[in-house]
Amino acid sequence: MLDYHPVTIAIGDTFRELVQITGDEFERLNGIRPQVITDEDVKGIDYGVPHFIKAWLWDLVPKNVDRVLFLDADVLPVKPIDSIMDVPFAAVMDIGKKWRMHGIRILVHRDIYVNTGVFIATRETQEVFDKLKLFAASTADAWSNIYEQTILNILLQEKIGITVLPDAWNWQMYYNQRKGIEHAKFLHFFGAGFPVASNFQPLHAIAQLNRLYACPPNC
Amino acid sequence: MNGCHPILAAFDPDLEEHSDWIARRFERLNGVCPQKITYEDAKQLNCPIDDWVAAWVWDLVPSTVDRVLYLSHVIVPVLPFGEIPTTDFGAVQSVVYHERRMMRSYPILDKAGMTYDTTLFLAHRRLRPMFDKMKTFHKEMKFNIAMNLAVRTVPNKETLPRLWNWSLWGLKSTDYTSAKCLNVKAENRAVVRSLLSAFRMVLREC
Repeated sequence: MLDYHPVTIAIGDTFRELVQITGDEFERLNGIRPQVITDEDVKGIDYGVPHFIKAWLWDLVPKNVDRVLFLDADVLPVKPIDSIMDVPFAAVMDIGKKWRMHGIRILVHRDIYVNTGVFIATRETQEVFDKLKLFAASTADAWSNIYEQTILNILLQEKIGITVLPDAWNWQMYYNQRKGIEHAKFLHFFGAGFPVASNFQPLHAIAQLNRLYACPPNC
Repeated sequence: MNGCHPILAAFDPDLEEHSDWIARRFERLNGVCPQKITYEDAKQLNCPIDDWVAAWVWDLVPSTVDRVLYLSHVIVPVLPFGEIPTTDFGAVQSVVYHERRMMRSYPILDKAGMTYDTTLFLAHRRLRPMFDKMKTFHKEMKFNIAMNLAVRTVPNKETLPRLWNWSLWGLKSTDYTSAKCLNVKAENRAVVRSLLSAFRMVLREC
């Protein structure tokens, strides 16, 4: 399998608690502990709202890293990764609110709009992420409602291109009502780290039971 | 199950696939297959096809059954129940904030200080008159309110340990693996479906 560097972001206490669970599960399933970007790492960066920290991704991972597997802190790994696609950027189609899709169609007239809770990216995309920084602090208020995701989608499609991954790579809980959850590698519980969302508990329960009912390594 | 008859709400066509694996898992854990309340059953009885079906439970079970363990469609069996209390009524305390708040809008329930989560309950046939009386209120209020109002006067009742019916939206837990059942009740059916699918996967019931 291609080398990759798993990385996630945990800003604030609740997200730190969450990333302990998701990090433990990733390590159990894949044998690598993901790098966690914390408040300490982003001190002095004017990122505006936390979603935009992703723009500094390539500054925050070690310099020798060429390929990252990025995971939001509310993404729970449930199955091991068996291969990593050799493309500059890959993610799963976003199946969230329809207006977001309409928004992107107006802007780029394309049908691809991915969710950036899980993505594979190579250092080729650094230029795009650097551009994303421009939208962070200065326009934080205007863009905070659509997060960094829409801008990243536009920039990537203009400069690099996006490869669409199967749903299994980012199973968007509650929105994805399709069949096939049993193949999911990652379950995405949107907002599980926000105290008001209480999505934390389903994520925690599913992580514990997945561990309890896991097959032994030789099964 | 020491003589207790399990009965599972399986009347929602949207969740039919899930009620099948829930029934199978329940049987594997407890050695008894729960009787399923199907859409047809509910239609035949001409009862409301929602949480209120539970009020018709004594019309659905065989006449030889004295005690029931009612499970709504949001209950995920995790561990065996073991010994079942022989109380006339038993349920866990409701811990979901918005439900407790709704119940407290009824002064009598507010005064009682605690309310039951009626998604899983034990009941004895002695309470059948109470269930029959409840039916007449199905257009007036939600089932959980009617049930909580009705059981206030039941002398032989028991608050079951939280592990019997652990709500995912209630108090935070550090150990979900010791729960006998998890409860995925949510206002949005898509959330219920999604969580049932995820639990099915992690419990290796696919």
